[in-house]
Amino acid sequence: MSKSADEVIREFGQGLARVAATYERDRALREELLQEIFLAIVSALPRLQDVSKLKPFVYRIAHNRAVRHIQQRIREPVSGAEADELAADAVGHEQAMIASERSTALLEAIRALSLPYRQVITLLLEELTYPEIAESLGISLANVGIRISRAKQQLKEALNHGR
Amino acid sequence: MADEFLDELQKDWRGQDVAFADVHARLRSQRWRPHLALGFELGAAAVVIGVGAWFALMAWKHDSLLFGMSAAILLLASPALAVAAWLARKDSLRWEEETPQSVLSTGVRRADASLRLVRLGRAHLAVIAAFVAVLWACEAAGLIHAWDFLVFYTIVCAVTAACHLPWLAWREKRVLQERTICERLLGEITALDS
Repeated sequence: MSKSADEVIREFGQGLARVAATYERDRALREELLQEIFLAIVSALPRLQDVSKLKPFVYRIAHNRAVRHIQQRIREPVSGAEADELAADAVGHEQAMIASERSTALLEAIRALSLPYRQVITLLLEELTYPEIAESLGISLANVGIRISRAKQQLKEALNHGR
Repeated sequence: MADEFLDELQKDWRGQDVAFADVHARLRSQRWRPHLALGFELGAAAVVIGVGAWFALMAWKHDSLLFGMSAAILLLASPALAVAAWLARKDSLRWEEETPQSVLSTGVRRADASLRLVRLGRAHLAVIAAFVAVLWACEAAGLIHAWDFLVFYTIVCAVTAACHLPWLAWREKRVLQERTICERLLGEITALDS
């Protein structure tokens, strides 16, 4: 059964917002990017022929639209401390603060990855399977495995170095 | 096979505070934006062509060389610009059919097309400048007698050029920067594939 655009946005909205955050630090620009992603998905949905492939379809559009965003972004990105507002719900709650810091550190490490590694790791973290990742990015299954392996290695080095 | 590192990453990844409800709410009003922009561009092109057609009619009615030459400029050069701009927009991407590599390759091609448009814009201004020079030559040779109109027309063309040339220079600089970014990102992808 096909889903409406609103249903699709509600289902994937959080995941798409997380993907957008890896491409754009500035909050206002990130919302703009997310808006563009949503618009692109809404426009493309009538062309989806196999509903079972909705997930790779949505994330493929998200990454392609985000690539267009960074290719058009000429200005230098603002520093993470100014733009990112990954605040814990309970300010002052130690556990939430630690979790927030870990999320921020992970986000920064992912942003530092080169584009191909950034894309595979975000799709993996969004729980796409290897075949779905291959379909989303238009690469072979073998390539997915290699890129994920290297991305994880680079993340390990970056996160261990920062801790 | 358990991957503890990945499980940790998953927890931290999901721990992000990401809100999208506001963006979702604005979606309904934003859906018409691309259609409005295209409509505006096509409308502007239609107005310019209409003015050119009116100049042509005036030239025929009053047997006026001045109107005829103005009509020729507008009807020949402006449609070329309008079609080029329309083709650039029409060639919009179907995001679900693209890959990151194809998006970037298209970015490079679009940048090259935009640079050609910038050069066409400069050529258009050069044609208008030559046109004004020819009119003054005709005035000096006594072929036409339209001093007041010529002064006004020259000022209008000069002000248009003074506004348009800096914009063309800014556009060219921006497009070259975008092209550089595309090529860098393409290099990151193709380096892995080689």
